Amino acid sequence: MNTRTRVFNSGIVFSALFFWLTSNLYTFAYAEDPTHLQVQTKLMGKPLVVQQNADPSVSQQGVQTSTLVQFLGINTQLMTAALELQSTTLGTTNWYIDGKQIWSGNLALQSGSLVYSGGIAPIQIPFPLFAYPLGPITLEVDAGIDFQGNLAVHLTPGLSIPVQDSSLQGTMQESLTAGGYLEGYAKLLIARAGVGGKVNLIDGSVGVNADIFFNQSPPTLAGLGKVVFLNGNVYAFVDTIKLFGQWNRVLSSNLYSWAGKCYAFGAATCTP
Amino acid sequence: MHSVTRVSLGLSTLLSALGLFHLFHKPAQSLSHKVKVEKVSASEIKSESYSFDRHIKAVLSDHAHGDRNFADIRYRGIFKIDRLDAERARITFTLDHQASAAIPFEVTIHEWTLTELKSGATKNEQDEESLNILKDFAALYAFRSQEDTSGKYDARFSKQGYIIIKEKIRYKSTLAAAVQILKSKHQIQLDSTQHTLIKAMGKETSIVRASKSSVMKTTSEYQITHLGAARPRLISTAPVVENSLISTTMALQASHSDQFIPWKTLEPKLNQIATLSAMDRLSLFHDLVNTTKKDATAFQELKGWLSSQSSNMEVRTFAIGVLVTMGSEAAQHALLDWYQQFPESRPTILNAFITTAAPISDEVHSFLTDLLDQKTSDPDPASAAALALGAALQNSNRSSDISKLQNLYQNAQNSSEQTVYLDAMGNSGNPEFLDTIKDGLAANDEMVRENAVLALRLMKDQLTHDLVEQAWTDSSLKVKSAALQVIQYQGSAGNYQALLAQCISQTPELKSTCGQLL
Repeated sequence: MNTRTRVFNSGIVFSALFFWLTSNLYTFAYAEDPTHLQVQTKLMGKPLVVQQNADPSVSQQGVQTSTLVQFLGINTQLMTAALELQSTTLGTTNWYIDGKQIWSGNLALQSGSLVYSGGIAPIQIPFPLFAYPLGPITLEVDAGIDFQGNLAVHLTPGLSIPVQDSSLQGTMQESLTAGGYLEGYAKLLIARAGVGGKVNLIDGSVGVNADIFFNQSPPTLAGLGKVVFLNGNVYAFVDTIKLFGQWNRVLSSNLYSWAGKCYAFGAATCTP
Repeated sequence: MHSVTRVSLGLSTLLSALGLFHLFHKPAQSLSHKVKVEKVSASEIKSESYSFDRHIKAVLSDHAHGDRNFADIRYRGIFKIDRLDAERARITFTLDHQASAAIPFEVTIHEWTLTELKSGATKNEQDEESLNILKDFAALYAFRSQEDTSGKYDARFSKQGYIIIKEKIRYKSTLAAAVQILKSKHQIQLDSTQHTLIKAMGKETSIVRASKSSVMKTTSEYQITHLGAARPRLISTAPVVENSLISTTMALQASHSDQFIPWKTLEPKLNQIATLSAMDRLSLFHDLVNTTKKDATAFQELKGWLSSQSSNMEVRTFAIGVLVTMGSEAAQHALLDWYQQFPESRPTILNAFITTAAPISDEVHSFLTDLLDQKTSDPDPASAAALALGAALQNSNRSSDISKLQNLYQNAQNSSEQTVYLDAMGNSGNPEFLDTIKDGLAANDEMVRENAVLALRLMKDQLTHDLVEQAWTDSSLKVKSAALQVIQYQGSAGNYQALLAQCISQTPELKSTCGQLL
């Protein structure tokens, strides 16, 4: 095989690899509705989605929020919370992290308002290991989600006459920081490969302001805070060994690289 | 040199070297042991338990589906069979994988009937791989107890005395575990489980180690070099097993990275934690967990550092996360010390025990049980303890906790107490609570019924499906809404198409949610 043929063949191989890597990456975001945010893309051929929702409760006397993540194709209900008005002086809230309930109970009366505030220490949600073929090596990839969240609920009565037209100003404020990670590395006798990186799934303080009416009219919801979805970087490389044990990088590529999508509501702004 | 030419040369070097390696590489020495295989009648087996703790270099690959490949794994686990009667066996299988990070999981499947085993029925579909391994175990069990030789099971004695391994043996780990079962029964000395095939010849069993080169060079059958046999024998196996062996060989040549960031690099970042952004903190958390898991001295360093920072509540919350995620007994012990020392951090520590993916230690377990017993004097921590004990059942099978929560529910003084225990059961995802949850679904109190439905959210079997459909017929909108939340948690809207379609046409209040789910 002469040099020109070798170069031509290598070009085909390289082009195929490049196409394969870049075809796994596309990203779009939609929905400017502050109570229903969704950003969606793909990573390593698998869906990467973050959803942040706020909806009136079924009774119309409360509000519920949820943060859903699909990372490497695995669905995780990262955090859900609900606020329900039981009477003019009683409200309840419940709070779930990764499907586990961590709080359910009454709001406490504090300076004329009903409040709850809680936080969790950072947690790690590990995924099952999976295989990812990269060049001549199949990598064992360790992946999962790191997460920390806080929840603050606040209900302030706004009385008016007639009393049935009164409402409560409810606020559910969530501070959420979640990062998806993946790490894989393997070394054969004459080749080595790795994949790694982090995607910041959600970072910010989001929430909802709700006017909840005693007369059971549907609550009005408005978003607040600032949140950034899905910025991050995931890379891959393949090295082969040269003579005398030196490594030669034959492939280096970003599988994912994006500044993310920022939303800001109320007084908050996305500009730094 | 042009970059494309360098790529070409690199790939050529790679392929040439692989070829040379396999051409000149000598097959690994094989070994065999002759042992007696005793027939065991079903009635003789009352209860058996096999534990294993092995560090192996590879396995578990299904190239046909392209979705599994493990390397350098430590397995620890227990496989337990309790015969309930002539037809029913309870099989409990606990497996702890440790690879680059500990990923513990447990599968407990209760009261399989032999009929169910034959039909491949599943009772817990949360972890497909665990289920497959478990079914393989069940089949091996059935084979070993000589209850069936019809060929319907995955593995059996053939007339010639071979164990025929059919396609349903999904993973190499099954073979490894089978060897372990035989070893524990017959005291076979064997230094490794990888590349092991089992071959039974009449009443003599040989355990044979395949050579690397023979595995690599064939596709449909491979030759086993056999020290104990006069001539080589050919054994045919299913493609999946072959692929497992091939990838095992590849993985054996690979060395997996066990790298971590040293404590000295992390410590300066810890000292600046107050100035870090939330995302940078989370990144530091990740690195600290990784380092402390792999480097025992880093854990001691971290403990020392924390003792100097203990007055800072923000730092303490961060550290609680690191310790609970590490999951070691020492780390959990440190958390209990903090619980006594820092009252303001108690809710955070209890929340950490609820949310952790790591199994809780016996010490933490008895601490939580004590808290739960103090429910009259201190209801909030008791509720949190109940939630944590429920969540812990995802990683263990402490039957005493199951019966404790069931009893507490039955003896609850009011509906509010009942909901706490239903919430705790819901955190477990354990189908043993289904009868109690069913009871909750029939309660007069709407709140109890709503929480009973929500307690189904982490369960996925047929009975759960039936109960969710039953809940949908409830007159309460809150109960219906809870049923929809369960469907959303389970991610199985497709199984509830009729229900969701009915919801769209008949329940205007929930129309939008049902539409989204559908």
